[in-house]
Amino acid sequence: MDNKVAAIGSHSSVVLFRAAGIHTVSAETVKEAEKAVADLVKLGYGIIFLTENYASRLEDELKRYRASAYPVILAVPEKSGPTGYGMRTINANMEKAIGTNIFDKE
Amino acid sequence: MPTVNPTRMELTKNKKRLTTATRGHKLLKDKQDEMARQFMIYIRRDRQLRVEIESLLGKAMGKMSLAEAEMGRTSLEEAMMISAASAPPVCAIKNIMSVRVPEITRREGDSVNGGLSYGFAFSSDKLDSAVLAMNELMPKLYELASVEKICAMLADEMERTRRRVNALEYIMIPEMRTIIKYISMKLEDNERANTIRLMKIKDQMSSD
Repeated sequence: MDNKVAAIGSHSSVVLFRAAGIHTVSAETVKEAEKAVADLVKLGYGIIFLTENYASRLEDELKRYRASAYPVILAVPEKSGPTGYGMRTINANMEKAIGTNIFDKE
Repeated sequence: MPTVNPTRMELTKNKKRLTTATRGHKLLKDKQDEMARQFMIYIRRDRQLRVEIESLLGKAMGKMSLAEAEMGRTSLEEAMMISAASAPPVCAIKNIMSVRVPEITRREGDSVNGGLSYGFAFSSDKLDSAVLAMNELMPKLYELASVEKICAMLADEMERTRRRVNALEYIMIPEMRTIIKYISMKLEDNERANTIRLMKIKDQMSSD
């Protein structure tokens, strides 16, 4: 199983991942991020950390990776702080599975 | 109205289909229950990790930008060049309710020197703390990655199962019931018609 890990995002957001020894790709535009995701998947990266601003805008492109176990694409907050996209994803999954969100809405 | 031949063969065929459908429906219902239970465990963990990571990663990133401000981008890049090439996580696949989901585990004892692999002479202490914080965070990030994927995949599967259960419960099974009723009524009707015919013939024959 492929166990290569990569992170995609703006330079200042992914530099931290480089510190942890993860291959990083800086992308300054959505287009660049989209291309980076496709390339990395093709290269067999199993885990990809993608910053939230790109993940939210590439939602449709990322849908096709949803059905298989790998690659795992995780939206991580960027330097400017979490946008709430991660929480929204969790709630969306919840609603899809149970039919309603049973967690208290903050 | 159902478009089937009211024959005994159709009747037995449909009765068999009905028992299969009912059994399938029950099984799918059980699957749904168990999946909901598993899903709740994972989604709780997902939420908890997400909250933790959002705050911790923010802090680590803040430290990193302090380090960058102190050292300058070029020397920071330089320090990162020989980054602690930590052992990659082990990616496996596990089976939850016959959904093949990822399982990511981290190898033990992979960080040498606490994960700091650059010279200490020209680097800022902010960088040290950022890197150490990040190294501490990595197992959580990997766990979140797998848990979130599991949640997404389970949610998809649950939606599919729900559709199947509903299709069986509200369309397939009632449809088969009406077919069975229709055929058995038709057959009874034929039976009665036959009996009456025989009685009539008998009457005619005895009056002759």
